[in-house]
Amino acid sequence: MKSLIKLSLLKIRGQIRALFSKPSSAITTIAIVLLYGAIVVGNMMSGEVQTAMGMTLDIHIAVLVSLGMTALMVLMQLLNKNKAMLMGEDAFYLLGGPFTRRQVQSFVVGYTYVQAIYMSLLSLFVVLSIVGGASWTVLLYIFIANYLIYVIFLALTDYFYVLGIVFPKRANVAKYVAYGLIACLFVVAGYLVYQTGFDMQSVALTFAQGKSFYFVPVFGWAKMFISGAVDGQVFETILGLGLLVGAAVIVFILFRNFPYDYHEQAIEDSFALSQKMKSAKKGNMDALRDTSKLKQYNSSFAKGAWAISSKLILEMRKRKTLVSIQELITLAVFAGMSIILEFGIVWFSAMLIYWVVISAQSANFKDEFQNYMIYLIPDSPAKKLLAIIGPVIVKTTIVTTLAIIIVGIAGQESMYDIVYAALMVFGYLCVCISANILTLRLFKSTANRTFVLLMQMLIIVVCMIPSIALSVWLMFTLHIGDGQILQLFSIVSIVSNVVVAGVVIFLCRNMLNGRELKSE
Amino acid sequence: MIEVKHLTKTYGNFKAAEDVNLVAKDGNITILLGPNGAGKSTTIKSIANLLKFDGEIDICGYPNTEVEAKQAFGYIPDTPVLYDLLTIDEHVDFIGSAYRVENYRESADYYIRLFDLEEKRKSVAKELSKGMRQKVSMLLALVIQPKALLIDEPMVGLDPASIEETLGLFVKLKNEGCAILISTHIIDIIENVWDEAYIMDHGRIVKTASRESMNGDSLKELFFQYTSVEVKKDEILD
Repeated sequence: MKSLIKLSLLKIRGQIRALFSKPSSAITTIAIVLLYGAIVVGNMMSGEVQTAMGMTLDIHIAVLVSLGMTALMVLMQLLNKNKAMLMGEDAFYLLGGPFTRRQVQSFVVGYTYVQAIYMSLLSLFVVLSIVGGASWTVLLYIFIANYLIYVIFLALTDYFYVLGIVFPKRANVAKYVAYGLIACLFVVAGYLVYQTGFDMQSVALTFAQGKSFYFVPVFGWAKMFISGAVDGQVFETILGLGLLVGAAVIVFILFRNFPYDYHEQAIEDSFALSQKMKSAKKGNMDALRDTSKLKQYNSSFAKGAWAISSKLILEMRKRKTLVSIQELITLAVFAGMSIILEFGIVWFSAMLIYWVVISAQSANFKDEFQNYMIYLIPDSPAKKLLAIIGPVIVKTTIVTTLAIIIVGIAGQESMYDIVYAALMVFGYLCVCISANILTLRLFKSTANRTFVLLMQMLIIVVCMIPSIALSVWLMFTLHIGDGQILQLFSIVSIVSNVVVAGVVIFLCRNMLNGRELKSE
Repeated sequence: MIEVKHLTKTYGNFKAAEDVNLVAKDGNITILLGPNGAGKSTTIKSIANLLKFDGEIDICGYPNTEVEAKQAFGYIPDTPVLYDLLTIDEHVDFIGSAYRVENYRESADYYIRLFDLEEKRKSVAKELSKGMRQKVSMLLALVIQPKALLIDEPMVGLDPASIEETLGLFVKLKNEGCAILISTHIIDIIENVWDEAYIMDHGRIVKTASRESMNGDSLKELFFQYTSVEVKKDEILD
């Protein structure tokens, strides 16, 4: 066991060394530590107010949100098809090395206990971002509760995993447990809806503050423990904590004493998952995708460089991202708020610009630039570049324009305002996409992914400055009235942003000649 | 024909390839031999115009930066890079359309049969084995009906039967007039098919040979004579 602990310590040392191996990585690490530090200090300065107040509604909601997030992570773990007990190298040395099964299983559980610390800290971060500040004791209770939930479910997932290997008929137990948890939640919610006579506001309040939630296994116990501890209810505190600790101990014993042989499959799964994770880290978003049920599409390809556009559209259809449910929900929420709360088309356009900025950042052009085939296609580099960005621009333009038309018609906006709004969003879309390409041009394919994402955001903002600055300057210089603001911003943004985007694309036009991106 | 004149590629102060001159003639199999780190892949990638370099490279009479040159050559990289979500057929359609190849389906069907990929043609690349991915990579380079073929470590991941079939295919293409340039360090595999050989070491061409000029010597002997690689037989026996 000593050698296993030594291995763990060596790995931690290696991870820390890797974090500080490059300036960009070291800066990011220090920035994150400082950010956490600032949050902790901020909490120290503002949190003590909460101490004497007990479980306020704010804290109830924050606790529920943190538990909700933990539940989401746990459910994802339980339902995840890409499972492995260890990462590749660990599996090779541990499962193939001179260790007893019980030693290996104890090591795995120990590893999940460390993982649980990181994940619980994330839950605390969520609580702090909602309530702004909470007393140290409240935070400690929330941390302990979330930590125990992770300890239970991470070990339970490992147990179900080995169980599924040895007894294939039980391979779906983890899935059933996940469904069971969801069903419990629905039963409690349904009971509250019935009890409050379908008054949804009361349901929400009772759910947050009441005790019905305690009947949801594990998560309810966690809420019982936190509420009991904060309100000084000894029985609830001990019962909640006892149930959580008891469950953790049972799962630990179950897994640690698992007597069957599962090594061959576990090593195979570990290497497969490690490979997928490495590929995903490099930006291959399809690495973890389950392709066994991928739908076949009739595809036809345009000629020359435009074949790249056809390929990208085909990939979008296969990934179901041509118009994704997530995008539709986001747009529906913005549109709903704009129509119901009468925020108007200007507000909706601003939200669309925000959405475009975020979408542009996640548009994964990098994958395209990493495949040598694109460089070898016998066509002009500029045409290839346009073929790569074209589908995203066309798709986003169609989606945003349709959304603006719907909101415009529902809000009885004038035809001019609808057109101005659509043009304004289109201008910002162009500048965001070109900024994305410029980031790839500047930082190439070798740069740290997190660093590139930060730089990308910065470059998008810098590229948007001319349009915003010019609009604001003209607004004050020309003494524009409220009714003409949309018109002004629209015209300036379409001219300025399209010019900026054009200049950027012109400067990047040779990126796909093969030499520029992959050369150094 | 592939002509490389005074190719030099540097990474900072390190010269990965230095004043490399070589010619891969039409209807010949030309081998670029060298130990690990000799500069073979750098040379091949420079010819494919995937790297910035100093010097001059022509493919079928056109500078390798030109569209005409790109149209003329196929490139098989050492590690296959495919699109995870596209099937073999979709890859073929993509490359056939991008290169504007007439009747590419006919030649694709021929190579799919040859590489024993018929049952997998509707499978996405992510589900293919390493050897199959290598075969698809070859298929895509061949479907454009190249006049010149650049191959970087071609046999990685292939089983013995596939290696034999691939070598047979290279000879067939050579007999049809294609200029083939293969970079490898596995001499045994190409011993029977090569026509011209360039031996590289530390970024430079240290020896040129043709099959006719060998006078009974083997390529392996020549390789060990001109490179810094030593086989420490005593240590191996110990």
